[in-house]
Amino acid sequence: MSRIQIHSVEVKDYRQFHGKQRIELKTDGKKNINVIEGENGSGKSNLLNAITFCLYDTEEHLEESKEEGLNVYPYGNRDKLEDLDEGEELNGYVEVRFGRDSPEYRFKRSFTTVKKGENQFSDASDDLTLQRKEGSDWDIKDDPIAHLNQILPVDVRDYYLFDGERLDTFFEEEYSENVKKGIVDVSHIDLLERSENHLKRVRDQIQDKDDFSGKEDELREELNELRDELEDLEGDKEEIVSNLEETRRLIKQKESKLEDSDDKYIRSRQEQRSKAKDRLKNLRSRKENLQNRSGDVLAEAAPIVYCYDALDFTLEQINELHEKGKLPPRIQDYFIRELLEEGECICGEPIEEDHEHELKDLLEEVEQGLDEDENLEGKSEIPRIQDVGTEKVSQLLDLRGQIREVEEEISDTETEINEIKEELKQYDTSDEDIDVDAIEDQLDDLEDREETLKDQKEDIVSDIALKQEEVDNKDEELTKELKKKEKHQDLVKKLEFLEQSIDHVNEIQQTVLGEIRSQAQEKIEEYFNQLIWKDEEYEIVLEEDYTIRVLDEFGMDKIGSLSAGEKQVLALSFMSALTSISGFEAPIVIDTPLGRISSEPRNRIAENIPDYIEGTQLTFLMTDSEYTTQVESRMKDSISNEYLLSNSGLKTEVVER
Amino acid sequence: MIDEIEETEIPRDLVIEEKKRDRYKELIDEDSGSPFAGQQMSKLFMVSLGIGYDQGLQKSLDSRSGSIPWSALTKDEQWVIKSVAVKEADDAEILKDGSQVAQIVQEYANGGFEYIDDLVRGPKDTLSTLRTEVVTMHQDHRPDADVTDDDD
Repeated sequence: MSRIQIHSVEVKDYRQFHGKQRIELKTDGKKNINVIEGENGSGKSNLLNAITFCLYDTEEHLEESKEEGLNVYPYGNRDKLEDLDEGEELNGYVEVRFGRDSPEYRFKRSFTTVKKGENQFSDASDDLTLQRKEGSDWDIKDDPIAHLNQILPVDVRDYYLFDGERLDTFFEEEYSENVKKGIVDVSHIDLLERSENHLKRVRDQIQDKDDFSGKEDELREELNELRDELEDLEGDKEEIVSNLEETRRLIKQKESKLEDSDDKYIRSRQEQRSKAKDRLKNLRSRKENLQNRSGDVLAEAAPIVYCYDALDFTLEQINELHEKGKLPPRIQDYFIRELLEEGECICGEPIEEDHEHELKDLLEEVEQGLDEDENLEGKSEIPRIQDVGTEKVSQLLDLRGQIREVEEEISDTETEINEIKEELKQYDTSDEDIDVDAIEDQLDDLEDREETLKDQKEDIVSDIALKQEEVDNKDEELTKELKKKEKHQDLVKKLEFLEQSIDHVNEIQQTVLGEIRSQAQEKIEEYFNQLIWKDEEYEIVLEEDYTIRVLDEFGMDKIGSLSAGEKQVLALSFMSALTSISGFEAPIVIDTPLGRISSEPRNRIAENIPDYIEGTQLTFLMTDSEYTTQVESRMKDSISNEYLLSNSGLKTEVVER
Repeated sequence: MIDEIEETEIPRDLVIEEKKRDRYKELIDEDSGSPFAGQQMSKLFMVSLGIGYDQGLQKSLDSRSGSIPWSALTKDEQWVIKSVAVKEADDAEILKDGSQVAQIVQEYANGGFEYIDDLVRGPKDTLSTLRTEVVTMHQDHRPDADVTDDDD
């Protein structure tokens, strides 16, 4: 199967090329070479530029000069531009046809150059278009870039379409970077690089998401401590409650002794005291209820009373509106609406259009400002609310009075209980089985103890509530931390997987690059030995750090002592190696391939060049000093097409030789 | 400072400061011992509004938490709210702007609540202090009203 070739390049008014000119480049079988000869300035480099402009919208072989953003060297043909007035434009295009046998591709890019002034131009290029010929029909394709990438992707184009001048400097200092770039370009590892970068981005995002603090053990310890403290408090409470019950039982026991005494006086005083104690309990409960009711009434009275002046002011505002007529009685509103709905006045006359407008305006005026219902309501509601305030204050005072009465009763009852106690202490009983004085002293102690325990119980209940809250909060904190940990462990697994993936992708890249390096080394050696004019064989070693060693028969590295011509041959061999292993069977176009090589090696290269990349179409753009009679005679059996670029002033014509 | 009046509905909920929410709940808790124990949050809000308005304790809210549904307020309470807004704006037209009405009363209630909170935490009997304030204020504003105070 034959390789893809450039069938033709057609230009219209592009740079030196005046009008429409077409160069047929289709080669045939063994004759795989095209030669386009031209003096410096005749447009050789611009033919290479025409191809890269058409395919990639770039001209890499151009020394561009811009002044204030305007091109001094525009796309358009200068001879034709000279004839234009300022503001007029010149349209042109470059078309490159590719093909094997079938299909054939016709890539085309048009351009417009606008003349802005003397020697000042503005260029614009159109999008690439593609027609594909299958059989006898040309179909327009809407994805030209995708098709172009199948033929010659942008990453590898530099190894197929290049300027021989570049070969001069290829093996100067830091050349290993050039070698590395070339190897990477043709290795197609860009997908792997994108995968690696994507994996690294995902890894970084996951690391940012991980907010696990690792405080799980610390929090668990704190929670356990808090739970222990809560348990201790609960234990203390149980003990207090138990002591309280025991104290109350002892009080009851002492009181029972007095109640069961044979002494009638002691029994009656104790009975009276029991009743007083019950009464005291009820009074305290009643006081509490009164205070609660007082709180309720206060909550209703306070907002009204504190805001009396606001209520007064609002009522004044409403009354003022009313006086100004902005607050009509509700009946007026209904009346106007009714008139409008009926369409008839109360006198029986129909309402005319003018009157209808008047009525509508009046209704709108009525409805403006405060909501009418709100106004009407406010006029009656605010005074009522103020009365509610008065009523509530009255209730507050009444409740305060009742509370004071209850407080007095409480005070009297407490006094009564204390008096009974004193009487019993001093009472000299005839009942020998009972020591009233001692019992009263014990009761004093027990009641004091009861009060103390009641206070302690209240305190510890409050402490327990607070501690329980601390436990709940800590528990919640720990739960959150555990969830974070769970998430963290999941993230760690993902991160491990990503790290492994990154390593694997890296290994694959290194393996691919190693393989490409090995293939490149083999090809460079083959081409270098084929093209070099010397009789000895050289061994080429392409190292892992992308340096190249050229070993002679004694194993000595000659790279440092290669002549300029030898270095150019090495560079050409390297470029050719890349084209050979890139996997693309594209044609090669080289501008000035033998520019820096002296006559003897040039002839040797000319002799070997037709075979050095078998089956590939080669197009050389040469100066007359490169394309000497000797070179021509050595290459003639391989040449399919030969052209001369004939230049006069601003015009170049392509002449077939 | 009253902004330009725009026609807006009164919000569905009046809001309190998020950080005061827990304290609100504590003060209405059955066992809190505060004068508002066992009451609705709206009652405490209204007393806070009254005190805030009376003492000029307007305080903007840092963070918001919707807590007092407008529909949970009694007609009387709604009129008190409207009146405070009208007095503050010096114009009854403010009632067209529900958002501004809400903002005015929320800020007064916010300042007033802090006053109540300090009182509850302090050594005085809160119920007694507030009751005395309310009675005194009533007598100052409505001396002709048929209310007698034994303390006088």
